[in-house]
Amino acid sequence: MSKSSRTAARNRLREERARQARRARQIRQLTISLAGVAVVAIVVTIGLVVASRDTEKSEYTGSLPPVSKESDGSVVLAAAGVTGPVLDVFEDFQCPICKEFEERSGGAIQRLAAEGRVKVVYHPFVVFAQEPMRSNSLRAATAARCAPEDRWVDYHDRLYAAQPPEQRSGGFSVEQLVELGEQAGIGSRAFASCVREQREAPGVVRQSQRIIGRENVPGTPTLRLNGRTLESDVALAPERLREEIGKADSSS
Amino acid sequence: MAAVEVRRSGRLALAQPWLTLGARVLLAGVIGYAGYAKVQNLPLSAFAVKAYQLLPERIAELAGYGLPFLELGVAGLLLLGFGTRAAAVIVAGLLVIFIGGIVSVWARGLSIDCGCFGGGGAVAAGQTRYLEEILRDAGLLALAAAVAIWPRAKFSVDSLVEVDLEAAEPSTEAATEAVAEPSTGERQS
Repeated sequence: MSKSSRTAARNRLREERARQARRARQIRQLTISLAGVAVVAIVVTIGLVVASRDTEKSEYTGSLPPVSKESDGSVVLAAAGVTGPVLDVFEDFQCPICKEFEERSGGAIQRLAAEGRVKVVYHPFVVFAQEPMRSNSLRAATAARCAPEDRWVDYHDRLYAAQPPEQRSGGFSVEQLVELGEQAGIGSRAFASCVREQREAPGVVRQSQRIIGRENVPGTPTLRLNGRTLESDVALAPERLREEIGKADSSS
Repeated sequence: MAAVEVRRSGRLALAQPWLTLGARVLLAGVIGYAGYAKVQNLPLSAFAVKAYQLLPERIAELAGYGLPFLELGVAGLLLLGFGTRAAAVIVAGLLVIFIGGIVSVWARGLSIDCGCFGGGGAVAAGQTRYLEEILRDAGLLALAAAVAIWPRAKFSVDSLVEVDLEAAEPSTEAATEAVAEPSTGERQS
């Protein structure tokens, strides 16, 4: 009798202990999992805090230094007497990440040029080989060549703001390009006919071939500071771009 | 026959903690490297998420900024073996989202580049890349699922915590045994 009751008691005790152990283990596992998720949440929050500083776009609405359209199709933006450091900007009007670059750093670059800290040389060209991107890009770059110097930067900025999706056939139509010119204050008949006739197209094609071939520009956007190619993480971050230009400025 | 079966399942049971360890470290390496690469260029990461055109622009941008840190955090957890099951579930979720994103972009014919390049055949190259990425992510998803199902592994912080607390129990068990059976020799009272 007592043996069976002792056995029963021992079994009950064992069950009870097993139940408690199971519950304790479950609570432990849950706690560890929650702790792990909390760690990840903290890390992500740090990331988003970093992000909120980074997402500032650099708009510049001040006065621009003189613009000069060169014979090779490049466009120089530099304060009087400033010959260095030189920032070459190779970009394509249809390229989405060029639009991203211009949104983030475009204003900062213009401001630095206005402050006389850098000589900016824009090289808008056609990097795409496939359609419809290639034609869209060619139409836009050709139209940009028609813009007068005093309105060129404004027109350039508007082109990027109005960039069509890559896959849109007929994007950057000549009519849209003329319209954007009018919005930039270019109302002359000469400009409109220059754009409609796409007169400057062969020049753009030659320039693009030279940039891809001889200058060895693999893709866009490509930024070169005194000939040295800048990494895209610098190009996309106006603060770091400012830093690099500052370093180059002080050493020249 | 029964004896052989027991031996076989015993060997698998013995190997499992090592297999999970391997899967854990591999996942931590791949995801951690991806996060580390992205963290070097946060604006580009934000741009890449926006390029998928699946989220509203603001949310896509935030996701692009948060993602590298999420990847680094989860990789760290997996490497240490801390909250292994939860970390593996998060990784599996991420991979499902990635695969879905690539399939969606592929179907819509978008070309996701981290830059714009010339050269012929870029579209064809893009399509090939999509398939490779989907296969790679599917393989990683299988690994993550395995770790989530069998999270016990060698050299994990999880197992350290369990061992410490389990060591306390045998002594209480011995004490209770002594109380239940005062004289071990006795068979019946």
